This record gives sequence, structure tokens and C-alpha cells, in this order.
Amino acid sequence: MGKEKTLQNKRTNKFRQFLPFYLMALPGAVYLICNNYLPMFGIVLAFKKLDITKGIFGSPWCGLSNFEFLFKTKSTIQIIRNTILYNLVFMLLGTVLAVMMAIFLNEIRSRKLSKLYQSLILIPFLMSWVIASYLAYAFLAQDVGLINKTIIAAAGGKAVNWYMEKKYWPYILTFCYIWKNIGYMMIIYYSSIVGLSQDYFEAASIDGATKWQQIRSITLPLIRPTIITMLILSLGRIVTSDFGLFYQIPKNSGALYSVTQTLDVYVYNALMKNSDFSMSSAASVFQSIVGFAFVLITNAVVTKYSKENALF
Amino acid sequence: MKGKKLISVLLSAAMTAGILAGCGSASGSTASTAAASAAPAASAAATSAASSAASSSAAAQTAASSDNGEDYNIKMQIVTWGQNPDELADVESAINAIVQPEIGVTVTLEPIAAWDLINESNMELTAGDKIDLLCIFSYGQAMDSIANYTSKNMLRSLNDLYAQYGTDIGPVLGEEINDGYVGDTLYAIPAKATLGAGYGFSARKDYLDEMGITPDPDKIYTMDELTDIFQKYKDKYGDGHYALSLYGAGTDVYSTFNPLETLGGTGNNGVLLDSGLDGNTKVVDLFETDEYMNYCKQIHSWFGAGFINPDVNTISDDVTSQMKSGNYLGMVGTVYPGSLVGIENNVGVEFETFNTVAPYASTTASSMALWAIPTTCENPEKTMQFLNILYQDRDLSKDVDSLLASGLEGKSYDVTQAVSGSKAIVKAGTGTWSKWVPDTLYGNYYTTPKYEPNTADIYDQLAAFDKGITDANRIPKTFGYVFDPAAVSTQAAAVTSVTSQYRGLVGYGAADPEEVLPEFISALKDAGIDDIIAENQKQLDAWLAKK
Repeated sequence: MGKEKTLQNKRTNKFRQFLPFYLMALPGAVYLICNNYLPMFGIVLAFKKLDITKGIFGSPWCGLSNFEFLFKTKSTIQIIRNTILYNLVFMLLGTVLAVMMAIFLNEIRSRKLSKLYQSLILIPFLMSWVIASYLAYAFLAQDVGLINKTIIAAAGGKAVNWYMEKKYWPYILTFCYIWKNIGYMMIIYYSSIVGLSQDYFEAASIDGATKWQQIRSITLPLIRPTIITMLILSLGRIVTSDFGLFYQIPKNSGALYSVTQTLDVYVYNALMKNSDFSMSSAASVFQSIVGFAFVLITNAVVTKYSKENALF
Repeated sequence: MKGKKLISVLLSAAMTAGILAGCGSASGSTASTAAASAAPAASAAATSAASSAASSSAAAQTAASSDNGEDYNIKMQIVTWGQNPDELADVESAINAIVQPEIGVTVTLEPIAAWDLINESNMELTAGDKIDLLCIFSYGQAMDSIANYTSKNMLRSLNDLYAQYGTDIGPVLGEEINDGYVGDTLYAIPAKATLGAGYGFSARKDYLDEMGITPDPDKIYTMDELTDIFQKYKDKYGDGHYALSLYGAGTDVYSTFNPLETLGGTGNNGVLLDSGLDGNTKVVDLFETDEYMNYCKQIHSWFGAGFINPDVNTISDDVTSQMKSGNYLGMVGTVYPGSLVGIENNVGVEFETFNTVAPYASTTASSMALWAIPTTCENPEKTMQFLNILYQDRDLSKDVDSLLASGLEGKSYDVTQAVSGSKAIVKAGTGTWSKWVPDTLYGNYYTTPKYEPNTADIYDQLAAFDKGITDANRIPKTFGYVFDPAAVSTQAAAVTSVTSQYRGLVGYGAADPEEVLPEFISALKDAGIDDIIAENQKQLDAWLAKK
């Protein structure tokens, strides 16, 4: 009896002790509920034939027919392949480069310069894809583009019609993505590197460890949890693509679709002109389900190999 | 320690309060949206009050009105080219001053950019927002249709209302009222526009003069004949100059060189070749036809010869900006009396037209704007009475459709020559109405003021244009038929996605049709084009049988 009471007391105490933190979390929770959970009732729309006089819940059910258009063309496999492969490349290359940048930035001793570089790398992230697409266009346009007019002309080559030649686009898109997002990805790794205790590094350098050895044996293992968490989170979005990148940068050029079209772009092109809300919902439900499955699978794999780093 | 704790509690409480306040409005509108979709009519007024801040005063009036003897407020969409005209409020009050004493209504004009219109209308109606006069507007590739709304049951049937209150509409529209029917039900009233259109290549007169070319107005030019003119231009002006200005992704200009009936769509869902003028009513897939192959080969040769900008599929300057740059000879498109005035005023040079297709009646051209009364309208009777007034021919100061089409006299324009009734030749005033509001969408286009350099005989020309089409018997049997793709919406969505990939490529000549067209056709087959064509033919046959 007495024991139980102490336990309860302890719990109440603990709750009191953490009350400020709960309160701090509350705004976020409220936001999540309003913004991410309330709209989820719209999922039912994916299985309905919308009739607005009857309302969303009163409309007749129509099974899976709203999903059919996603798998109607032969290019569906191509589209899903594009979506997943680009995301994988972005994830791997992006992580490697971002961690590299973060380590480099951390090595810069002058605080002023390191702040300056950090801002410079971050600026592209603040630009919209529309602006980025015009920057790209300034380089790639056939008759007035910088590359055709200066570099290729100087080398005496033949002008390339960039927006018609699909073989270049996997590289162009990857370049654009990295250029725009590296600054943002880097900040997260940079902040966790800055947070590492300097004692390890001091001890290591006294023992005569080189920079490379320090990076390999201290920095990387210590930021591993951050890297894994970030990877799992981005795997959850593996079938969701950055619409701006894949629609704006190639200027929606039909000749490039086989290497630039991702699920979001396909949905946009198919449904923009007839505002079919049921089919759009179906597409996003499909994306969510596949994304959720990927998170579960990755987490299961992580749990198997290093339990302490798993998300849940 | 204690002080610190207190501060942190206070801070977090403050943050929470801030967020809650911010979230309040958002969750409020979500909740009311949900409620509205469950019972749209009941809570429509409440939703419009919550969601559209712009018309808050209007919404307040609406809530107070309904059938208690007060004026009914009509929320009417106004299509703009992206910006609101300065004199919007003045025009609104000028209209109210006319219609309030007559039929006891006031209007609230709700400006929406042409390219946002389809989405905005769908969103608002799905959310149960009140719209009394919905504009179904098709321009360029943004084809909207009645079927887009009837498939979700968003529109009221107008048969009885039209018979009772729309008595002035019928005489103005004549044949064109057919554009508003789906089956036996009238869902929308078209604005009176030309019965159809011709097509042509319109070129800058200054460049033509320098080359010593004058178009023969009675001649129909073929693509081959235009090739010679393009070649002359290219020889004279050289690289960086393009004879043909094109704009817009995923389309073609096939219909500029061949009559084509698109059956109320963009041509993706089946067409009648020769626009059915030879009497045929066979729906075919345009992209499989020999005619389309020939067109593609021709335009591909133009592309290869440098008559077309190699960046045509990605260029972001529209035709007007391209023409302004001075690097282009001309453009293609529809031709009817006064069709060049807009671009001439904009570019500042004269244009001359090489006709490529003689005028013929087409559903798409005559139904550019259709006005429907959605289910969220609370007083359809008054709304139809108001719509009826738009088709009445009155003196300029009392003419409501002139106010909507051309703005306010003395502000938007000054009259240079009064013709009769509301007909007048005008020049732009200090306002910006003519710049941002298209003038062909309201009531009767044939009696609204026209801008210089039009002359007083434009009104006769317009009437003669329609008569010419009728006399030449260039009205297809299918006039007024619009395909409803609801039954094959899955295939239609897939086909739209395929055409957005290929159509622009072959349609503007960038790709070799011998290579790409077969690929295009087989992708269409996979997407289910045959189901769509069959459904279209079935609907058309049923429509014709009833007629």
C-alpha cells in the first residue's frame, strides 16, 4: 500500500517536473492535430465518387477505381522507378556531401568566415524552384543559353538542345537538387558536430591522431544516430518527389518525361485540367501507404543491426 | 530556481496561446468546410463568411437577405488577366444602381485570374461556398466544360428558370443556346460571341511591307504557300528571327490549317475531321489520322528550317511578348472581325492576315464563356432575372453587360463615336478595365462598346460574319454537342498525361513525327484512348438521334 503511494507520488512528481516541457510540446501537438491529423478524414475521398450535393461522406463508394489511372499507362513503372531512384540518389549523395561539408565547415577556425560560408551555401535553399528554373534556363536555352553561346561555341562544338536530350537530365537534376538543398541538410549535421565534446578531439590529438583518423573514429561514429534518423525520415518520403524540381527545372518538356517524370508530376499533368479531387486523393493515399511501408521496413532493418539507433 | 521555473511555464503558456490563436481561424474554417460539405445549402452563408475575407461585407448582406423582402446579393465571378482593375468597386456600384431598383438584387463581383478559375471554382463549390453566377471559361488550352461540374452534381438545372425569366436571352443567342445543354437539361447560358471563327496567319505589316508581300483577303493559304513567305523572311532577317511565334506547352496548331471539331475538349478525347462540315459524324483519334501525320511532317520541316524558335516547347514568353520583341514575323490563331485589335494595341504595329481556314461554326468558339447557376446559389430566380438583363439592349448608361465587358464610361473609356443603344466606339480612359478584363464574356458581345481602331462598321461586320457562316452552310451537325468524359474518367486522366508528354513535341515540330508519332499512338492505346473514342461516339449518336 505504502509502496504504491510512493510510486504514485513519484509519478506525480515526475509529471510536475516535466510539466513545462509538456506545455512546450503542446503548441506543436496542436499544430500537428490541426494540420496533419484533421485533414486525414479526406482519405475517404479516395474511395468515393464525389457528388457535392451529398457531401464527401454521403457520396457513393466506388472501390479502388480512383486508383486505376495511376497504373493505366506503361510509363507507370518508369515513373515509380524515377521517383524512387532519384530519391535514393539524393539521399545517399546528399548525405555524404552534407556530412562532408559540415565537417569542413567545422574545421574553419575563423568564426566570421565560417558564418559567411554557411550563409552562402544556404542561399539557394531559400530560392523557389521557379527562380532556380530560370537560372537553369539561362544556362541551357538553345538559342541564347550561356552554355551553348559561350562554352560550346568557344570549343567549336555543335549547340545542344538541352531540353530535348534526355541523357543529360539525371545529372542536371541531381546537380540542381544538391545545389539547392545541401545547405539545409548540412546545418543539421553541422549543429550535431558542433555539439560534440571537444575533449575527445583534444585527447586524440595529444595521442597523435591525424585529422582523418579523428573524423573517421570520433566524428562519424558520434553523429551516426543523426544520420540514421535523417535517412529513415527521408525514406518515408521516397515516393514523394520534390514537385518543383521535376516540373520546373525541365520546364515540363515532353521529350524528357521518361527521365524526369515522377509521381507528383504525373498526377499534376493528368489531373490539373479536370480537378478530379477523388483521383488526386487516391494518388496521395498511394504515396502515403508506400512511404509508410518504407519507414516500417527501414526501421525494422535498423532495429536488427543496431537497436539503439532505431526510431521506434 | 523557482523563478526560472515560473518563467519557463509562463513562456510556454504564452507560446501555446499564440499558436492556438493562430490555429483558431484555420481549424475554424476546416470545421465549417466539413460541415458545409455535409449540408451545403444550410451552411453556405456561414462558410463564405468564414473563408472569403474579401467579400466579408457581401457575406454579411447575404446572411441577412434570403426571402425576407430585402435585396438578394448575387456573387458573380469576374475573369481577369491576373490583376484586379482599379475601378472594380465603381463598376460594382454602377451595376447595383441599375439593377437594385429594377429587380431587387445587388451584385458582388469576385475577380479571379483566368488561369486560376477552374481550380478556384471547383474548390469553392466543393467547400459549399456560395457562388451565384459561375463562369465556365475556355481559353487557350485551359478548356473548361459543363461536364466538369455536372459530374460532381454542382449545377442547377435551368430549364424552368430560363423559360420563365430568361425571355430576352433566346432571341440574342439563337442556335448558340444549344451550347448550354447536356442532354435535355440546360445547365448554362452562353455569352453571345461569334458563332464560330476562321483561322489564319497574322503577320506584322511593317515586315510584310519590307518584303513586298500583301495577303490576298479572299484566298485560303496552304502550309506550302506559307513556307515560301517564311523562307523570304528567314533569308532577309537571318538567325535569331523566327517566322512563326508559338506558345503553350503540350499542344499543336493543327486546327489553324484544317477545320477541326474537338467536341468540347482539347482534341485529346476524339475529334471530327474537317469539323464534320462534309457531313461525317465519325469520332476519331486525331493523332492516328494521316492528316495529323502530314501536319506534323510539315511543321517539323518548318522547325528544321529555322522558322520556329528551337526553344518553342520551353519558352516562357507568350505570343504577345514574342511579337513585341520584334524577332518574329507573325502568329496563328482564330480570325473574326476585330480579332487583331487587342494585339495591335499591345504591340503597337498593324497586322495583316493570311487566311488558312474559312470561318465555320464551332461549339468551342461560340461557347468560350458559359454562365451557370451552382447548387450553392440561394435564390436562382433572382439570379436568372439578373442574367436576363445582361442580354437586353439598352442605352449605354443603363447597359449592364457593357459595364461588365468594357467598364465605366468616363473612367475606363471615353466615347469617341456613339453608334446606337449601347454600341459605341471608344478609346481607353484612365482606368485599367480594358487591360485586365476580357470583354467577350458578358451578355451580348455584339452590342458592347468597341475600342479604336475599330470603326462603327464593326457591328455590321460581326452580324455579317455570323450570317456568312450560316449562308455558306458551315455549321456542323454536331454544333452544340459536348462530350462528357465522366464515364471514362480513368482513361481520360491517363490520356491527358500521355498527350502532355507527346503532343507538344510533334505538334510544334520539335520531334520527327515518323519516329515519335507511332510511340505516341501506342502510348495512347495503352492509356485507353479507344474506350474514350467509343464512349464519345456513343454519346454523340444518342445526341444526334434526339435532335
